[in-house]
Amino acid sequence: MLTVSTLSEDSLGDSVTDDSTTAQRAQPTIVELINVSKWAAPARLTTRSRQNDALQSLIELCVALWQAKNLSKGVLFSEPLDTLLDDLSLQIPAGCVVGVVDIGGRSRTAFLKVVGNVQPPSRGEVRLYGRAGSVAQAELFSMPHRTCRINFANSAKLTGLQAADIDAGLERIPSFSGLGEYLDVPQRRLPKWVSSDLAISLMCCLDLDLLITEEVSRPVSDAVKESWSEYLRSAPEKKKTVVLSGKRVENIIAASTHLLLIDKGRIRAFGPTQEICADHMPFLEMAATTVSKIDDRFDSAGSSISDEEDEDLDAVDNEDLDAVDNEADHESVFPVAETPLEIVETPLEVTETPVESGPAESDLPLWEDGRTRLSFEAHQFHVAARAQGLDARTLKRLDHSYDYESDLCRLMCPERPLFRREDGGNIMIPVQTFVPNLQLRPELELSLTKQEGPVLRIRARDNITVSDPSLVMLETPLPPHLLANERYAISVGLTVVGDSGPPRVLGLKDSVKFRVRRDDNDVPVEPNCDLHGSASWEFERCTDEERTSDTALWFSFAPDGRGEVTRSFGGIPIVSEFEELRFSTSLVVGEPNSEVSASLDLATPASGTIRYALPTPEKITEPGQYSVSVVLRGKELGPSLFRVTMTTLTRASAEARVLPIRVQCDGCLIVSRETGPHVLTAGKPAAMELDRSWNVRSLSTERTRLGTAC
Amino acid sequence: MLTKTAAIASPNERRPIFIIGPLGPSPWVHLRSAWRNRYLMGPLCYLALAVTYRFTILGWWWLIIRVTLPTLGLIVIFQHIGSLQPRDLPYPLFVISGMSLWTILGVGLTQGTRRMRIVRGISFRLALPKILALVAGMALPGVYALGFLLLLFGGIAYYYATSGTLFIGSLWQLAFFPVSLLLAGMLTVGILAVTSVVFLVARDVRMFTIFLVQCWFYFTPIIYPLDVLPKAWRGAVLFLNPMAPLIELSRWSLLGTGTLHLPSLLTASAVCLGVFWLGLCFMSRAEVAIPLLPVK
Repeated sequence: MLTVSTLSEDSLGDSVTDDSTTAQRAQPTIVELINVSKWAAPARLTTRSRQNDALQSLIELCVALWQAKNLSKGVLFSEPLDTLLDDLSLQIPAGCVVGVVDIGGRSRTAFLKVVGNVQPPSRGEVRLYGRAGSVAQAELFSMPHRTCRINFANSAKLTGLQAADIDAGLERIPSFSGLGEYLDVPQRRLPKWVSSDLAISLMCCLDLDLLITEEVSRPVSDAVKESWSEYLRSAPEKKKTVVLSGKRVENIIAASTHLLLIDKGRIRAFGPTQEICADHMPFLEMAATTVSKIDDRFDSAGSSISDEEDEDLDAVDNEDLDAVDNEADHESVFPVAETPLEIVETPLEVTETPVESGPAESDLPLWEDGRTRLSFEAHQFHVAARAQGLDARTLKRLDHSYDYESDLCRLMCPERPLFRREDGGNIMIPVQTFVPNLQLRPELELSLTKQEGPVLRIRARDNITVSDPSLVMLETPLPPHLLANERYAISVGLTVVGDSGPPRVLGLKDSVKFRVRRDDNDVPVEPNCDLHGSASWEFERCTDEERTSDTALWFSFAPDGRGEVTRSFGGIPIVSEFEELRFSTSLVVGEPNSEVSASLDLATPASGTIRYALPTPEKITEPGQYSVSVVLRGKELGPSLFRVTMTTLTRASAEARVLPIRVQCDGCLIVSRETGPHVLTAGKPAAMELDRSWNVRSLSTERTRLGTAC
Repeated sequence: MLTKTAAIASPNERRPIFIIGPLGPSPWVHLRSAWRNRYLMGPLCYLALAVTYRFTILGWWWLIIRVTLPTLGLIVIFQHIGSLQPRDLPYPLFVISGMSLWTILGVGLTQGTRRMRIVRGISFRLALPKILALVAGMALPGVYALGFLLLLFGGIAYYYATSGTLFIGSLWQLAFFPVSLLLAGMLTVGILAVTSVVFLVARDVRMFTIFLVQCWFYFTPIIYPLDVLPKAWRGAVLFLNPMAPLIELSRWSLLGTGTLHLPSLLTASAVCLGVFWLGLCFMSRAEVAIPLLPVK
C-alpha cells in the first residue's frame, strides 16, 4: 500500500504526502523527506583565472566562504544555482524496491546521495526510521594493505552498525557471493570487479532496513548477480527497502516494485511500477534516451584514506613533468636538403580503389572514447525517435530547458557531439533587429574549449540585408566531416555594415542553435535562405601563429603498410580549399644507384582509397638521406576524414620501408589531438583540380630543425 | 531551514533513528549535525591513530621515540644553563610537565592541518561534519600527552625514590589538569578549523603552521620558568600567549608548585573559547564551500 498517489501534470512539485491517505497505509515509513532541496555547485566562483592554481583555489575558497549563506539558499551573487532537488517531500514505505528515474541523471544522483547520507541536503531534512546504508559506503574505510574483512568491518562501523551485526554480516558474505576466499586478501590485490561485488554483498548481508544503490546492474560475477536478484525479489517479503537507480531505465523498471519519477528536481510521480509506466511512458522513454553519467565519486571504489601521510611537500608534482612535450627528441630526424632533385615532368598516377576491407560506415569507430561512442549511440536513437527529424543542440552556457513540444529543442549537451559528422548540420543565429534596411555580416568562431583562439571561422561572403525590423534566423550549413570529435565553444560576432547613421540597435538572442533539417527520407537537406545577400558561406582556417615546429603529427607504419599513429597533439587540422598540403618523409638510401618507389594513400570510408604514386621508380645515384614529398591542394581532398599512409620502397634493399611522415600546411604543421585518423578537410566540395608534384631531394648537405620550410 | 522535529509527530508514532540535515552554514546547525553523528567519533579516532604510523617498521615505537628523545635532548642541554632552572622543581619534571600540555597544541596543529585531506575520501561517501574529523584527530596528540604523563609520573617516582620529595599536586589540584587540556584542545581545534580547510587548496599553510608552532614554543614557558623573563615581558607573554597561563596551570595542577595568575588565566580561557567558536563558525561555512573546490 502506498503512502502517496500518482500526481497529475498540474501538480508537479507539490508534496506527495497526503494526510488523508496516511490512515490507509499498511506499511510503516522507512524514509521521510521533508522539504528537501539540493542545489548544484556553481560552474565557477570567480570570473578570472590565474596561473597559480593554489592562489586561484584560495580565492575561490574565500568567495565560497563569503557567499556561504547565499549558497545554502541556492543563490550565488544573486544568480540562482541549478536546482537538483526542489522542495521534495516524500515518504517511502518499508518493503518497497523503489526505482528512481529522471532525465539526465543529476536529480536522481542527488536524491540517492541525500537519502543515503552520502551528501547532506542543502535544505530540509531526511528522516530514517531504520538502519540505512549505501553500497558506495561499503568501501568507506579502504586501506589498501589491509584485508577486505578489516576494511569492511571499519566501513560498517562508520555507518553506525554494531560490531555484532557487522560480524554476522561478514559471515554471510561467502554464501551470498561465492567470493569468500577474497575476504582475507589485501584489498590492493583484488581486481576491481571483486571489490565491487564484495561491496554489494556486504551491504546485502548486513541487516539493513534500507539499502541504497546507484546502479541496479552493478554486480559482475554470476553468483552475486543471482544473489542480488534474489535479494531484490525477496525484499518486500522481508520488509526491506531498496532505493536504486541505474543507467538503463529498463533495468530499473524490471527490478522495482515502485517508481519515483523526478522531473526538473520535483517529484513527477511515485507509485507502483505498472501504474507509473502506464501513465508516464513518454517521460520514461525520454529518460531512456538520455545517457546519464553517474557521478564517478559516487560510484568509484578505491582507497578512501589519503596516502599522503609521508608526502614531501617540496617534491615536484610528477604530473607536470609528464606533460612536457618530448618531441624535441625528433628535432633533427628529418633534415631538409637545399638542392632538390625535382621530378616534376614525371606524370603521376592516381588510382582509386574501393574499400577492400574494414567495417561498414555505420560501424566505424569514429571516436575512440567509449563515452563519446555512447553519446553518439544515444544521439542516433534520439534522431530516430523524433519523427520530425529534429535534433537541434544548443551549445555554450545557455539554459538547458527541454521543450518537448516545440520545434526547437534547447538542450545543453556539453559532452556530446553536435551532430553526426557524416551528416553535417546547420548553425542558426537568431537576431532581433529594430531598424529597417539593416545590413549585417555575421561571423562565428568555433574554439576548442581547452584551447585559446578559434580553430574555425565562418563568415558570410556577402552582406545580409534585413529589410524590416524583425527576428531573423541566420543559418549556415556546416558540411559533413568538417568538425572533429571535440566540444566547441562558439562566439558570435555581428557586424553592421555601412554604419553612417545613428548607432544601430541589435538584439542577439542568447542562443546559437544547431539543426539538421531532414527530408521525408531522413536525408539531411540544405537550408533555404530567403534573406537578401545570404550567399554561400566560406570557411577559413584560423592559423595559430604560436604553434611551434614541435607540434607535429607523426605516423609510423608497419612494413606492410598499415598505419599507426605514434603520437598526436592538441588542435584541429582544418585546411581551406586553397591551401597546400605537403606530405613528406625521409628515406635513407644505403646503396648507390638504388631505385626508389613512393606512394601516398589517403583512405576514406566514403570514397575508398586515393593513391598518389610514382609510376616508375626513381633512381638515386648516391647513398644518403633523402626527403620524399608530395604536395596536394586542400580543395582536391574535399571534406572528409582521411587515414594517411606513405610508403617508400627501395629496390636495392628489396624491402618496403614505411617511415614517419609529417603533414605541413602553409608553413605551420597540422596538429591533431586524436590517436587515429585526423581530419583533413576543406571547404565546400568543388570541382577537383589536379595540382601535385613529387620532390626527391638530397639531404646530405643540409640539416635543419624540424618544422622549417622544406 | 530545518523543521523542528519536536513539533511534528512521526506519522508512524516512531522516532526517527537518524536525521540527515544540512551541515551549514550556521554554527548551531553544524553543532547539531555533529552531535547527531557523534557515533563517528570512535571510528574516526581509530582512523587518526591507524594512519599515523602506517608503512613504518618501528610502528608504535615511534610514539615512544618522539615523546622521549626530543624532550630528553632539551633536558640534557638546558639543565646546565643555570638561569633557566626553576627554583622549586627539578628541571626534567619542569620540562616534561610543560610538554605534556604543549603537545596538544604542537602535535595537534602540525598533524591536524592535514586532517581534512586525510578524511576527504570518507567525506566523498559520507555526510561527515568536518568538525568531528578535527576533534577525532586530537586523539593523536592526546596519546602523546598520555605518553608524557607516563614519563612525568615515572620521573616523579624516581625523584621520590631518590630524594624523598613527592612532586605532585593534591587531588583537587589534579582536577584542573583536564581543564587545561580541554582549553588547549579547544584552542587547537579552533585554529585547525581554519588551517585544515585552507590546506585543502594551498599547502603553504602547513609550512606556515610548522613555523608558527616552532616560534610559539619558544614564546611559551616550557623550557624556562616565567621568572627569568623581565617583568614587562612576563605580562606580555601571559596575556598575549594563551598557552602560557595554561602551561602554568597544568604545571601547578600536576606538580603542586608555582602560582597561578588568575587574570591571565581568565583571559586565556576566553581566548580559547573565542577561537573555538570562531573556528566553528568558519567550519560551518566551509561545509558549504568545500564541495565546490577543486580539492586535489
